[in-house]
Amino acid sequence: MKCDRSERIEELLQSYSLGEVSAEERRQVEDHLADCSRCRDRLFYLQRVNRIVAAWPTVPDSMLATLPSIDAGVRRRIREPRRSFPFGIGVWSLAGTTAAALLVGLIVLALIVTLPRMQEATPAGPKPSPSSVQDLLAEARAKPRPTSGRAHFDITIKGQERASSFDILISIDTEWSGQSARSTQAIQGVPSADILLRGGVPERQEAISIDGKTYVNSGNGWRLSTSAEPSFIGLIPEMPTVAQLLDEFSPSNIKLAGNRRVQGVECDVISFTLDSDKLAGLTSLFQYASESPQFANSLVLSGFEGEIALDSDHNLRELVLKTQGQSADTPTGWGNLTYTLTVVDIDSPTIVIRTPHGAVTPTPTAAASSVPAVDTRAFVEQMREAPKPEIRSIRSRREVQLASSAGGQFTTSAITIDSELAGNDVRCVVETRGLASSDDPRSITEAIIKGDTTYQKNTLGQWTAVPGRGKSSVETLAGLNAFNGIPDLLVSAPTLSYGGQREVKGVTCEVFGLAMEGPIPPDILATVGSDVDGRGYFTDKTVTSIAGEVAVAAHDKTIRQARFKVTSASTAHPEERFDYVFIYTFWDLNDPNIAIEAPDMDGGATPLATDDGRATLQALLDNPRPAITSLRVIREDTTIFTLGGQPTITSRTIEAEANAGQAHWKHVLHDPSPTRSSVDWEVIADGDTYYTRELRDGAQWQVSPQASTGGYDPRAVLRAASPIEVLLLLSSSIHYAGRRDYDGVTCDVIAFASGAVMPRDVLDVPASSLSDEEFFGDKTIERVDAEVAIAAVDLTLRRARFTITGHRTTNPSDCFERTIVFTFRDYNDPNIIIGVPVVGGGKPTPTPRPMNTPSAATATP
Amino acid sequence: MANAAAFHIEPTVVELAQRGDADAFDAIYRQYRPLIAGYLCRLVGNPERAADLTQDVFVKAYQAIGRTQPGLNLKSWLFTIATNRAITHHRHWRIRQWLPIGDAEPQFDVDAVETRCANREELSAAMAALPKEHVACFLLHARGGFSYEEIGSILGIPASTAKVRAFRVRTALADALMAREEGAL
Repeated sequence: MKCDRSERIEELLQSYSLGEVSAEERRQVEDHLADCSRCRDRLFYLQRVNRIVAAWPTVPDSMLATLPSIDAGVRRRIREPRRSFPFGIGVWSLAGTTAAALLVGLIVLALIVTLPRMQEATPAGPKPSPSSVQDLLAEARAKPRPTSGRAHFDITIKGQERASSFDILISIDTEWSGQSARSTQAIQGVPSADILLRGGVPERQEAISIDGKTYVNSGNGWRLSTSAEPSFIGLIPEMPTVAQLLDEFSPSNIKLAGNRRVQGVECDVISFTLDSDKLAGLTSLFQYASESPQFANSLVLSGFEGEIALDSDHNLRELVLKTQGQSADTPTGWGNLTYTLTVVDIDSPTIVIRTPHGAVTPTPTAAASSVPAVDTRAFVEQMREAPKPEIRSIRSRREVQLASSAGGQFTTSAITIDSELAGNDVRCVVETRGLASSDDPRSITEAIIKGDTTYQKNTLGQWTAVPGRGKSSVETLAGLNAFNGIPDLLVSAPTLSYGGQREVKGVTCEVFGLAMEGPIPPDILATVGSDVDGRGYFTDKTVTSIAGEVAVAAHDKTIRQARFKVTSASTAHPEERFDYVFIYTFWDLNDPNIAIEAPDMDGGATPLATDDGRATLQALLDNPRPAITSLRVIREDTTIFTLGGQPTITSRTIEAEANAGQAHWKHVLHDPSPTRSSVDWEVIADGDTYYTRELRDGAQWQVSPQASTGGYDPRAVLRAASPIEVLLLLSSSIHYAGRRDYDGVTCDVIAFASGAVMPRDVLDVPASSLSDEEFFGDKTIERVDAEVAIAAVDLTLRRARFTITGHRTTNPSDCFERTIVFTFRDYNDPNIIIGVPVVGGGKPTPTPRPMNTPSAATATP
Repeated sequence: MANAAAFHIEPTVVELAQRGDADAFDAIYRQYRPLIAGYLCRLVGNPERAADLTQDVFVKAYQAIGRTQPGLNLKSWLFTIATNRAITHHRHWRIRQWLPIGDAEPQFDVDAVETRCANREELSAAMAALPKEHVACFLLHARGGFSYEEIGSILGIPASTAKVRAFRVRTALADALMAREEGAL
């Protein structure tokens, strides 16, 4: 055996050192070793590696101290069981857990137990003859599109493009009347690369289409759009009818597929199939899919399977379409898409669409010709030269999205950094998402740099302290390099346009659009990436273009928001593309309330405030809050209850809206029990007149005394802003839990836990009341956990959650856990106008009429 | 391997855990916690992160064991979860390197491998400079007692690839030992 120190020799030596050679190989190696001192030396070190590794203790010494935390963490996390049995009788004793944990753990079992019963309760109807299907479709074909209504769209897109998986749920709630519509779109999940490449999509967006105009709110206030955006608004007038489906898409294999309830309405279900070449015709349904390369170009679809559900009046109540395909480009690429349309409140009299409240500003592109002429260059020069306030404290959000094709693999990822900076200290929350990992696509890290110490929060919620200030400067973390450098960037931009005004975090800003091509100077790249020298992003890349917009505060010429899309490629491998989107938002400049404190090293809440929460609450109460003239409230109420050892889950939803003279609320119960005792119903109060009807097919509106509304006055919804006081009464263990965003509104969160204290009489307003004597009358409450979120901007209540656990007083083995979540939104929205129903109408004719025409000051900002 | 032999769970215990027996899962946890924790610590090179990942492994195992098939190879299954978690963690960490907050995450440098080999723990730390997928193969073989076929099954790669990866790690560690001692002379 010749010694050329090849991999083969090395491999043989390794195998020999491990005793993993054949007799022949052993002889060869030993013969060679007899003559080769180099290999003898090599063998010596390989054997040393083996001995060292074999002698390692099972658990490294450095890890011994963390073992108790593993036990504690596993115990804590396993107390949130997802299985039908509660582990923990051994080491993780149940004695320490609450009844809540047990009950939550029984959810799955309850579903298993109740599912067969549900199926039995809705048996398939008698199999009709084929002619009855045609009769049904003929009746449905004659139905025009409802003139008004509410609908919910769910679009799920899952798949794999090259090496990157995506899994998106797009939910759209919409209500329309005539050609006007109001919609809210929410996007969850891991986006596909093409969405990122197109500049990202806001997670939540509202739109109103009225009088030929479209208004959009992506969280920064309403603005007028004259472009096609947002595409989801187009779903409303294009909502398909049965006639459209039959005429345009020629479904085949049509057959009756039984009966089922849709939104509480008994429906006939008809299944069908569509050819795959119908995709183009379904553009209006597949707005997103048709814009996505996967579905428009890359996928070979295998056809559509569909279902429609028709109520007894032959109205379309549900449409489900599913399709899937294989990638034409890559053998492993695939995608599937499910589209579900659920129609509720057909021809509802309560739907009135109005122009949005608040400052409506034109989009930059739309406004270019309509805003007064501005000498753009002169303005940005003035902006650069204007004296700037010294930044002593600031809040910022920095978002970076990346779509790359490095290594022949398409990957997408994103990072968001929320920062608070005060002096030389900073606190930030870093969230990464979009990685191609199905089990943990999102991670959140929290850190504080204070003095010469960096604190980081681990996944147990415990803080750890590390000496030093880390590698990133506070300016980098807070995006101040961008904040300070953008004025120069604007001045040097070869293409610059003025885009009008819009609000950013309540500050009126002038908006500028910019574009750059070709080699980009390093200082520009450093500004865009908010790096000291741009090395973090672009050191090995060639940037080919930058496009973006910058919002500059009108009053002090400081940067309040900037968006940049950067197109680049690897310098060494130009075929590898890296497209970035950077979004910076700055607010609360020099806010004296921003204070960075070292964290509670025992694992307590992040000390955004130094008090225990009580003082914060009192301060909130002492400050004036706006008078509430209109409001929407959603109450979601879920109870898990073991009755005689049998777990049941009941949930109910109350949706309420009210203005000064009217109120409308709807109660929907989801009770798997076949002996449900409650009937869903809705109430409209118009002045002193009350209208009620049950939510079942054919129910009629009737005028009712208030007593028949259940004793509630729906207008008391407007008093729902009082629960802050509750916490002062129940503040035995109150604490301030930091800030979170709800519906795009930054909120202060106050949490508390109590013993057997029930706030039932304090929140005594209909849609937000916890009072339920029928339920709580014979129960003993063991614990109440709660938290409320209060908008930082106007101190209105935005969310409240109460979790109440206990047992039946006469039988402690009957345990319950009840969670009630209130969402408060659309404060003083003039669109909350409630029409009056036609009394006695089986399907009420829509007669929406505005009851409180807003003054010019509020209706037209 | 001696280490592997010390960790043995009776098949009946696994079956009981699959049926939801709390004591059985408790026994599995007690038996495998040190092995998984040590493996992850050496793989990710950071005790605190390894502790977090160990939690994840057993919580996931707890949630999933009821859905596994009879005849489950428990040890192989647990190491599969652990390896996947560690590699996912490493990918996240690389993304977070866009904006490192601090130096809590060890910053390994391949060139500095030979300087870290003064003792056993330093050899372990040096190993963290190498690709995680390779180190996993080495650890599963040298410390877990798995055959290359079993490692291939755990990692979803051919057995030959698993062998080559383990081979490269052992080579790198031997190189590091040699370089350090030659430098000390």
